[in-house]
Amino acid sequence: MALPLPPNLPQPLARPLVATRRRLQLQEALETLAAGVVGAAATAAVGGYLWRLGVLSGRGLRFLMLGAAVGVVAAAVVGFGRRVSWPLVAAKLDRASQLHDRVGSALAFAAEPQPTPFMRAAIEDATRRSAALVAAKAAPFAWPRALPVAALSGAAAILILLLRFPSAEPVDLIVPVVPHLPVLTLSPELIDAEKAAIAELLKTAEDNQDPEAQKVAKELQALLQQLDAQELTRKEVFDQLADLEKRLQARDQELADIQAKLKLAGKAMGENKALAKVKEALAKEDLAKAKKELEALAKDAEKLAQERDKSKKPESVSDEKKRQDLAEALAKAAAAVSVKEDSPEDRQRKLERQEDQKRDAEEQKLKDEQRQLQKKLEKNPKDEEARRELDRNKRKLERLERQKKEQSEARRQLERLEREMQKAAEELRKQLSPEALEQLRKMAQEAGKMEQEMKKLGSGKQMKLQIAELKEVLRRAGQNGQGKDGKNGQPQAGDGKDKGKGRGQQLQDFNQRANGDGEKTLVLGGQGDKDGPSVLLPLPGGGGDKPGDKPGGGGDKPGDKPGGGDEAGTDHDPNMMGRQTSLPSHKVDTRVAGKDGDGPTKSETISSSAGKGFATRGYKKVYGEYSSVVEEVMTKERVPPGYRFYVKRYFQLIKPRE
Amino acid sequence: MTSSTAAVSGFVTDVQRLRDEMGKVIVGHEGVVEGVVMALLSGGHALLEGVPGLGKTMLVRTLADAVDLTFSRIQFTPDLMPADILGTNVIVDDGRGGRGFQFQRGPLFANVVLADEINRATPKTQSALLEAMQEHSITVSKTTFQLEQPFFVLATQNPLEMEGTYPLPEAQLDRFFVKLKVGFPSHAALHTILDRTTGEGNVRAQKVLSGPRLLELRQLVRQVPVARQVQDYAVRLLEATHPAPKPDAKTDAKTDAKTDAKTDAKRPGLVSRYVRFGASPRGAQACLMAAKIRALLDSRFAPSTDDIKAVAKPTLRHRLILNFEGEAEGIDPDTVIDAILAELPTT
Repeated sequence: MALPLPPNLPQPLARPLVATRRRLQLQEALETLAAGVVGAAATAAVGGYLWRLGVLSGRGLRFLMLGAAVGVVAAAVVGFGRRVSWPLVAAKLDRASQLHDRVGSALAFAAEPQPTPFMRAAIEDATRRSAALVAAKAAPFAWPRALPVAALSGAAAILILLLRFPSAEPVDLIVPVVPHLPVLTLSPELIDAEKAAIAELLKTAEDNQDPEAQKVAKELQALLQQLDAQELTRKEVFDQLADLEKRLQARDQELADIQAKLKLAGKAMGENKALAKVKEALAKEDLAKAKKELEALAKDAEKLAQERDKSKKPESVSDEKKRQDLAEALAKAAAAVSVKEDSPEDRQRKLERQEDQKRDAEEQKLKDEQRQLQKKLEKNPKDEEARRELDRNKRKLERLERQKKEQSEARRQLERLEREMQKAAEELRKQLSPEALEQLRKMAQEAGKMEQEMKKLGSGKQMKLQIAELKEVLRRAGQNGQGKDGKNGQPQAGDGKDKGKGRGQQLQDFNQRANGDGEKTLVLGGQGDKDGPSVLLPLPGGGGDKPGDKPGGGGDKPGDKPGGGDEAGTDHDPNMMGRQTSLPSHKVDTRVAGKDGDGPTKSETISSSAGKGFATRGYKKVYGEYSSVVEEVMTKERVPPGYRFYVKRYFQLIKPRE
Repeated sequence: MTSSTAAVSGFVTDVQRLRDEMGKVIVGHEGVVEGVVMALLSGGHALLEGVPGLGKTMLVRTLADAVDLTFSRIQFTPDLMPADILGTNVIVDDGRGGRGFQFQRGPLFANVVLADEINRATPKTQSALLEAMQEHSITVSKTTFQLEQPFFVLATQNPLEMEGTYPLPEAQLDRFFVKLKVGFPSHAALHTILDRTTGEGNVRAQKVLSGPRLLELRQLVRQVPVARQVQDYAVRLLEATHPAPKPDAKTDAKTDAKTDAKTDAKRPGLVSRYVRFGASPRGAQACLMAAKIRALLDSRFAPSTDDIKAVAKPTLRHRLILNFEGEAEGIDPDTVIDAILAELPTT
């Protein structure tokens, strides 16, 4: 701050001096304000950019902006408070009014403790001319020098804050790079085999009118389609399969529960002779048989009733006892099916309720997550991770709803059966009336319906089996070199002696010959070290160590040295495939005459198929017989999962061709 | 009206009368007349430089006519001796048959002395003026004679003729209050000169200013106060004429380091390049005195920086000593002063 004006200075001089000084201070404040705006704009621009990058939070940006604003105000205050000396102010006034330093001299003389007469005269002279002093003229306001820069930097800052920038590079700074996962690739043959199996499951589900199973089968089909199109990574496929398995798991649980209840019902029938067969059927979980037996029971009862009506004899004591026993057995069975307090069923029911509550809680949680994800997506529609999570969430919710629905349907059917049994028991207790007979028939019908529900639930097992097989196929495919980044399904390089030919090429050759186009003999599981075609079928362990335990031999002399390789499916003679099929066909018209007789035996058919391929009618027939046996064995026997794959794969490869 | 105002008013009136009277004889050369009057009022001396025939001598004679003062004219020639201008002791009869030495006053014993073509005399003779001009006294044979006040020397010199001339030494030059350049008269002024000098009439200036009054006016000039910032400007102007800060000055006044730095920053390159030595403190004194007179002539009670600017050239130009490069380049000291004035801030 400048020193105060001399007290001896006349007011007419002091006023313009003060006014001019204020104007100079304001002008200085404007200058520093503009400079401050430049600084604040630069700060805002940098802050905005960092905010866009995500380095700076919204709160941090607000603080930064606030700081910049405070800085601007502070700059203006500092500018206003900057020292402006009085002689400078006086000089500006003198210059503006052309007073030849009269004001400046008067100011200096007024500060003198003992001014001379000349000094006083000088002050008076300046005072006389004070009317000409105009502060606005001495210190006119002007646009700050930094105004253009301030305007430009302010505009730039606003642009940075408002515009959206491509976030490719900056985002890389903060978002971890997701490693590229290779797409899973399966050979078309494997996919076709799985597709066929799933098509059968779908047909079964449609026949059973089981919408849940149909849906699962359709989803499996879609999954295979995606696999065929090489759209999924290994992880995605396994995730989807795990999801489907979970859905089927609930059905299994439900089935087990109902089966247990039916068994209990059978046990509850006790030693009643009339219900002995029904009891036996229930113990075997054969509801179809139980239905038949119940229908038969109803018929017997009806016959008995008709005979009694004809004879018009009253019911004998023994008959009444039988009727009462039957009614009692049915009531007990119904009671076993129904849930009672303080019984094991009650505890089971409680457990189920707890399970229901868990499901409800999970459903609620999923719904909450869904809402959050939707909000997140609304904010950033490009967030692929959130979108995927939302889809997953939706699928889980649908599954939960289906489970609840499914459970209630099966349980309703069980309750209906229970009710019919109770009614039948009640009617039978009274007398063998038409109503009682009707109830017995209804009970049989409900048992039939129950069977349908059991079938529906039971179809889940097949589905699970199929999923397990598919997983095994995928696992093996990954181990055998597939599932790399082979987008185009290019054959992989073989690792055996057949250098230069990948497995894809080998499989192609095999299929060609299996279709009947080959010239050489087909050999499966080829471990031979001689010339001749063979098909690479990977087997676990050291295949070929035990000669003859695997089909096929190798070389020109089949059976000479069966299974001679060191490792299964990898060590082959380099020339095992022989010459390729000659493509240019020289057609020769040939007359073929039919032969009389029974035709070739099974062994002849199998043997000839090695040379002719798998497209003959005789082979188709033989294969049908074998495959049914294999299916049964595979379903019922305990086959290690690793082997199941090879067995199935083997039969897929040797299946008849069209 | 205060006494100061009245004094200033009387000052203006008297000086205006003097100028008007001189204007009757001297045509044009208003600036030169003003400079001469300033020198007269300040108690200094004036050096007039111009080619022959421009009326330098006439101007001095006219001034001497207008002022009621004794006047003597000395024509400086190469054989002129100091005693010729100062005076000498001569043997005279005392009337009783005895003889004794008596000091015979030279032409310098006058109020207004015209040293015509001063550069034609030898430095020895030129130096004889030094004491008279500075101390207003003359010492001959251990006897000092005080010169009558006011004492005013007006010297003329021809800038073209170098043959047989002796340039004035720096010490001599420094003793002149102002150095005035007498330029060629304008077309109209020439007509007037011809009209006045080729006719029958012989116009002469009347005496309008007495010696005592002149001394009063000189006293009045010294009463004029100077504001600090104006005086500061004069000091800075003087400092700016020096090519570099004086080494001894720096050690003597450490507190002025900031001011030196400020002046250094504003010193034009012309000074550093062409000036060997700047003006002496007499230059600042002359500058301020001339500014005061100018302010009074403008009826102001204090000089301004504009006054300093206006009198900077006549009061400083003969005090700047150019270096060899400046001499060789033919640099005019006025150019250097203009450059300084242009770059030196007033506040």
